[in-house]
Amino acid sequence: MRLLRYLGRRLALAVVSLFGIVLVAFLVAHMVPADPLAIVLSDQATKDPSIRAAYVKRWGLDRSLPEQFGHYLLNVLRGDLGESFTTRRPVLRDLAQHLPATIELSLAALAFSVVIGVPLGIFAAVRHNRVPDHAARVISLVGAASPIFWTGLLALYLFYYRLNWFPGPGRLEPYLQYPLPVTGFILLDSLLAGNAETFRSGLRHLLLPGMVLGWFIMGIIARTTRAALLEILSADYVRTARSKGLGERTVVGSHALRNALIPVVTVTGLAFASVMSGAVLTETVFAWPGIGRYAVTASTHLDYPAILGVTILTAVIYVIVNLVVDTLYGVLDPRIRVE
Amino acid sequence: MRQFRFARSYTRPLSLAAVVLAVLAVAGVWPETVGGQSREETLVIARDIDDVVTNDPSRTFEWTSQIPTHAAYDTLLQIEPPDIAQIRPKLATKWEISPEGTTYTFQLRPGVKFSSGNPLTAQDVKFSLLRLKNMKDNPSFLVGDIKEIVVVSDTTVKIVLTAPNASFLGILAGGVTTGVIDSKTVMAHGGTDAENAKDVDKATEWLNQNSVGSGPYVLRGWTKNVELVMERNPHYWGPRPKFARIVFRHVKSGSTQREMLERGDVDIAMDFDPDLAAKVKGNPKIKVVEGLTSNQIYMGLNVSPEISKELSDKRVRQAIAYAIDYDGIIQGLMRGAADRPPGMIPLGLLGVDKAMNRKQDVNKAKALLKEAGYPGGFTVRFTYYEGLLGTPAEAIAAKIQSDLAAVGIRATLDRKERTVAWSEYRSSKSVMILSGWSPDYLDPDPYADAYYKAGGVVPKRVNWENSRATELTLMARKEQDPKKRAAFYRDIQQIGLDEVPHIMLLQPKNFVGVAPAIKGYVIHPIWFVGLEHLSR
Amino acid sequence: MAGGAHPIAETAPVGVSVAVLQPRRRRANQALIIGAFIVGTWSVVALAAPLLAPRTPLALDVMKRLEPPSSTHPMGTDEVGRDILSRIFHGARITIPTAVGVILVASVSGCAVGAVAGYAGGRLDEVLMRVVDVVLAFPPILLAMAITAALGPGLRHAMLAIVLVSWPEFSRLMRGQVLSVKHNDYVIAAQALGVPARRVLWAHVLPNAFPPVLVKATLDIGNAIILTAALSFIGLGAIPPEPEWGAMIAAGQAKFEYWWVATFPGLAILSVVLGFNFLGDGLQDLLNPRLRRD
Repeated sequence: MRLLRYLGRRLALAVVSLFGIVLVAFLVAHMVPADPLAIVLSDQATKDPSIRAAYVKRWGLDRSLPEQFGHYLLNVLRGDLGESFTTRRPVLRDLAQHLPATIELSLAALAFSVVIGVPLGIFAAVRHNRVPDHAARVISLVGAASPIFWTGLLALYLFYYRLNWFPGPGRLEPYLQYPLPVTGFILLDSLLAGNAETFRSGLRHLLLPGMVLGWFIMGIIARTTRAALLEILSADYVRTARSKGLGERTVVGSHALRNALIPVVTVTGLAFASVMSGAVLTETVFAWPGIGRYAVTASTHLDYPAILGVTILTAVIYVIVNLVVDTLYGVLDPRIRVE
Repeated sequence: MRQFRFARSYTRPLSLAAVVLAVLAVAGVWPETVGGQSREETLVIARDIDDVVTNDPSRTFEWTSQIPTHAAYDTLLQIEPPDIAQIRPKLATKWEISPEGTTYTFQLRPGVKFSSGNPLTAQDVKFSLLRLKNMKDNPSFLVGDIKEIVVVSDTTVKIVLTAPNASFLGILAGGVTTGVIDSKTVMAHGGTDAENAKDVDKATEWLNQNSVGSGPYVLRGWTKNVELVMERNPHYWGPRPKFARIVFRHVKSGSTQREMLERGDVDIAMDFDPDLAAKVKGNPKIKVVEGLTSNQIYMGLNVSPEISKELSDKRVRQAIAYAIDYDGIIQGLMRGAADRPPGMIPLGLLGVDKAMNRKQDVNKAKALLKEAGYPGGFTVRFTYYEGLLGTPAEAIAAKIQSDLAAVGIRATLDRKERTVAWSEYRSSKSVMILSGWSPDYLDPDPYADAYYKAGGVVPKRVNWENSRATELTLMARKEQDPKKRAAFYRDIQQIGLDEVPHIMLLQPKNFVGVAPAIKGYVIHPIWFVGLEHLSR
Repeated sequence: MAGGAHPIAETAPVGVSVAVLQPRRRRANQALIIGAFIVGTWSVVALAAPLLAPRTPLALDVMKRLEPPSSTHPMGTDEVGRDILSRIFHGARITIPTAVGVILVASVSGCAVGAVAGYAGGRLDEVLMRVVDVVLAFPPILLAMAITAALGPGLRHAMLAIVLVSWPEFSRLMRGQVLSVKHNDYVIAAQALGVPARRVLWAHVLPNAFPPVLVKATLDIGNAIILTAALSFIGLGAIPPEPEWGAMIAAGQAKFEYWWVATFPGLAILSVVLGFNFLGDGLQDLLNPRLRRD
């Protein structure tokens, strides 16, 4: 019952946030000083008033700003994010086309960062203040300090251009046809189509950008694991266990680690936001046809329906992930009181 | 029990790591099997295709679109290099122009079928040109002069213009396509050629993913910023196209395209710049095809005193033109991969002579500045944008900035996104801009119209009007005698050299990297390449 | 433990013995020294760039384009023949003041909002925190991109955008500090004795809030450097020919076989950000061992 009331409150807050998000994104997008028609139409076409009029009507540019916002909000509720200036397609359809690529990349990156980051964090905590701890600290600091677009370029230069260990940019070998988009995930679609070559190609292309993006989040995950484990290692019950003379491995393994993993899971969930930020630049460098690259193209082309669409989509995902993580956290850890 | 749980929770991440590492290993080691037969029959082209917004031939106006629309939709006439002043037959085998120059009668090639299997008739020609006109989209102006189209018989069509236009044949030979579409199929998908087509035509969505022309290839699908796929047209009237499938793969960077080409992942890399072309010289895996484009890279100088007091003085504009190190730009920045006509009409067209070219003269530039009352120079905003027809815009802008500094003019560089720079330029507010132009069709007239005629695209943008140049442009348009026409165009260019509303910088070469096995690649000055000529 | 006079002593965790604290303190000092050294070196480079750089950052030579590192050009030349080393030195004059300025503005304004929200409570608090939530819901790079795209590219607009995405976390931090002090027994006691709440808060919030804010600000300078470079890399930040490091990497992206064009500016970013991160990390350990960032 209490949980339900909590959920209700959180949902209400989420709705308020979502409204704010749409408003902020809309206002930002409409600061664009350039005449959108001058961008879309050619010279000869701008000369013809009837062509101009047709486009003005098509994009509702003849209305006032509050009117346009009301209109936009209603459309968003109906699932219509408007039409992109550059692709001339519904933004929602563009997003649906690009989102699976980003999710596929993000999951690969998360997997890589957890697989490397959690053991690194454990190692650092167990060997607290000794060489492994310092090494782990330096690794995660360097990870956090490297601009991801540069790491990506360097990785491409070394591992693709020089060493030829990994395939180049893009999601597939260029001569391969994309599998029929059932889910939009190449790995799933190729399996559904029973096409092993496409699957293999998709997997190979996922590795390098996945690692570059994963390296970027790994530091956060390693440090969270380390800190959580350290805190628990100094907790009363662990000290009790130690004083009982239990071996260090048993103490760490059976008492501390399980509890320490709760915050790690949370951080991994929340790292999603960092992943999205990192994905924008990783996708640009790796020519990855996801929403990050879509957003970059939209911003440099002043395609504001598209900019709006992407920012709203990512913010909405963030709010939902947050909601789910918080709720799960409250359910999983009885120490967290649901207020 | 406790021990067991320890083992599980402590090692699970590690075993996961082992699995991932194994996957990495397998993915890295697995041999790449190229799909034998189908790879052989597939042509893969790497190109930056992010400019494609539609494949509806009545709407396309983008650079890339010209390749697939030309492969899918045959035009009545054509132009083939090297002689780009010569108009040749295509769907029309013969044509006549009435003495006053307003009525054109075309005889159509018999027995031509669309990819749908329907026969191509004069009715389809009428439908196609009227739909192009009435869709009121970017390319509609091309056929804006058409007064009426009369279907004389299945194989004869008569087109009447509102006024004589010596460049009309050039328009029908394409560039931006005036190709013929299958009216029956398009109407079945909601298309129309009616006057209100722009409001009621519903065929674009279908035409974005499919095509129904009589050309060698058929559009099979397009995913924005990913790929565009074409297949052989089984009903093609000409020799059987060599490839079963052609894939355009979106690859933005020329460096990456080169990598893919070297590995055999792609067969053609279309976005080589001079640096790349120089770098792959002697590489046995890459053949570089080069050809002069009809594109121009130029500077626009606003002559309005309201925009710039200094630039409104003709002597100052001449000083700028004399200050520029044209050879340095072409030899250094372009590695020699460009040429330079004297004015805004490209080399190879009527009336263009390199003997008229201006040469750098720093002393003259300084003297002109002094004469104009600016011995110490002045400050001017210089706008440029990236994506300047394959040339290094930023480098060119920086070079010009330093050339101008040598005569005392301080140019502040103002980089804008292409579309934003264009919107300012189009509203006649740019002070000095580095810009480019690519032809809609090949004839001196569109260039004279766009650069020299009062109210033309560029004169309007730089607030420049010259009645003599305007008069000459109109006279040249009506003139049917090539010799007299050439003389008019020479005079027009001379006026431009004296008035300097624009400064021609270079006409770039285009480089394409081609796998050695691919034959028949010739760079076309407007639609880049005719896919039907290619084979493996 | 006497009163709140010594925040470090006061907040030292009860369970941690002095023996455990000692090595940590030493390591903190190491991090602090490394960080201070890197940041100090870069600051000197920025100040003395015109003296240190062999050439001016804009001097070009079109016949010496894309030359690999050599004795005349230790880091090679770029696509118009400019000396990359000189550009990197001069780039420090853009990067460091920009990032420091941005975070200064963001931290001061963010803290002000947080303090007001925490102090006022009630509806105002609710509204301000909702605004903070909304801004935090956007991935920073996306919001910054949208803002710069809308305002037009340029370093000044990029700075404004980064301020707009960076302030909310400072608000949260400050609000937390205010709330934790507000409910302390001695504040309530002081209020009961008739001391104005405002004065009590100032006296206790400031010394307590300063260390975490300073730590966060130092670490955020690193983030701001990366974000500025990222915006320039995309083409929305600094405008060429300005020698901004992110823009220089972008120039190298188009020609990645000329590895030196992108590699050296990237190393410059990496080292200066690492410097600020070490500095922040060290400060954190030094000022407040319990509130470790991780």
